[in-house]
Amino acid sequence: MNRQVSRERIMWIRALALTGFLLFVPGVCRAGIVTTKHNLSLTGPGSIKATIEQEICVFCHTPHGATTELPLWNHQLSTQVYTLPSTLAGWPKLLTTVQKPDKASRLCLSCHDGTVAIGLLVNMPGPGSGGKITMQTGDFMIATDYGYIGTDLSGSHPVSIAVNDQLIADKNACTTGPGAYLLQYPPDGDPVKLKPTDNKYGGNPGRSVVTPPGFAYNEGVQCTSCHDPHLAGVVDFLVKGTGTADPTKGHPGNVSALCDSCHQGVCP
Amino acid sequence: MKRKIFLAVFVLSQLFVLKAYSELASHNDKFKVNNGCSACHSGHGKKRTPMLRNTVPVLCYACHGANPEGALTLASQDVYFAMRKRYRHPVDETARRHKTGETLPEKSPADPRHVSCLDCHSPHISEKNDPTRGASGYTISGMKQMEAQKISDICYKCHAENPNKPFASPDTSLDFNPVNASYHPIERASKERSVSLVSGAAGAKIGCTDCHVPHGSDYEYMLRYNYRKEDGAESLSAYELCYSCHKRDSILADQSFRQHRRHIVFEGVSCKTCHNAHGSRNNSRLIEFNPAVVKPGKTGMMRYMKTGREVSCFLNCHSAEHTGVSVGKK
Repeated sequence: MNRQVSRERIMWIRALALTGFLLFVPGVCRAGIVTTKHNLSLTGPGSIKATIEQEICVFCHTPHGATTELPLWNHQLSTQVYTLPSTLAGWPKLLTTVQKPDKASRLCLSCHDGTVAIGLLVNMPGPGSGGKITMQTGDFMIATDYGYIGTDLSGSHPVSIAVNDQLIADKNACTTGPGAYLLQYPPDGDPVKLKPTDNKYGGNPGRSVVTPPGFAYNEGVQCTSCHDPHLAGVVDFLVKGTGTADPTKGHPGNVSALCDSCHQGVCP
Repeated sequence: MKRKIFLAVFVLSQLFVLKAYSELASHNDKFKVNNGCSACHSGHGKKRTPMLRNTVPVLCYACHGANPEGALTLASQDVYFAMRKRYRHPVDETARRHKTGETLPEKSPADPRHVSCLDCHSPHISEKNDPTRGASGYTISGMKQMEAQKISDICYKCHAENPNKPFASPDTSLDFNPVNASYHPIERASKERSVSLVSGAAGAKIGCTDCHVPHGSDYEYMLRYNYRKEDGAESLSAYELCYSCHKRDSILADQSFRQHRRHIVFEGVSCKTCHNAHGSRNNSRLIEFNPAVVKPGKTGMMRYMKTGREVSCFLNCHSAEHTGVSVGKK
């Protein structure tokens, strides 16, 4: 009898927790994103925003009929072939198996590479199917926009690279001589997190992780390792270490703490 | 008492903290580069750079000199201004050809030569007192070094035998080879001990940067001081470079060579007319005649000979015929 009661209670607790989670999460996301440049609706604070559309989440998310790259993704994806950092001499050794950016990074690039209209959606608000929301500043992100990345990623931190023991061992073998930074997994609980990728390094997928239980994926570096697109009140949506800007040098801030999560110490 | 112990422990702990910071490479020291990684890197940097905010050398000038954009000069080394001088490494023009992870020298004679700040400096590891620490190089025998042990080893990357080395540019690794009859002591302390040397210089080794300023100089060959290679009137400034180690008084008093004064002062002969400042394969005393001035004499020879303590020359210099004429004791 007691056992049955306790089971029932656990069920109720779970149901309440799930309800709370579902109510709470979108609230948090909206509360966060509403004051950021990622609020692309008419009410957004940035310069890139819609002419009429007032829904905020719709530019990226839809409850139905989403793309297959990630659940609930509503923005039309880019089909571009990118110039990767691996085109630089010195990088290929570590990035021989990298493929085009996948998963989360593809989602970001669907606007930030400037080849897909910012308002081009798989599922428009209200009944109906795909379409395009009209933006005040034109359809596309352009090279002068602050967040524009383009299709040449050769100067950017590599994304969608699988991070596994072999990559860390190879990097830390310091075969390129002194001065290169060492590599490590970000510590548990660190705001910088490795995210799912299907790419491989050394023929092997990234370190396998099962968190939360039942949700297994292989770890790698994605845009979302360092940026949280919903995060308000920080520089460049960075998850960590956005220090005070120093106007005398024209830098947006000291982000060393962010780099430290994966790179500490130098090859001797 | 407890308070004193606490104070002592506190002071000691702070000293350890300071020591830890003082051991950091300059660029990794947040007290010097207070914007940390962001001072040079950006998550989305310039295309085809290792995430750099700007291309080299403009990136470096932001701190190492007043750059064209007018940023503050923060570091003591004003590299930007040195790089505006007449004789310099052509970093501004050719640094764009530098590739991350490249191995110098280039493999093909058709490859354009380049020099970048990053060919001589390793920014994550360089220190104030060792600014080229961590740069790769070659030993004089051509063995690759992941970390050069001395300045000259870095220079040999481009100034030894390279497939794309200009014809007029010397293979300095041959000049300084200790098997030569004489050499300036870059690789090994010199066998010779000139009486003209300033105190402390005899038996010491020197580095390329003792005579050359790699960033830039007003003097030809990026020399640290003036060194007139053409013949002309002697003065302190004409051979300032040589006189910085070899005492002018001693040279002109004929202490090292009995005919120095006659040649340099009365005939207006440049040091370069008779000496190769790097080294001489066949002759002692860095004797290697400048073929632009010195010609073979009537004997058909252009030679310096040493017999016992007597030295003699066979050559023609400005129609002055030296036919085995003894020019003095060694």
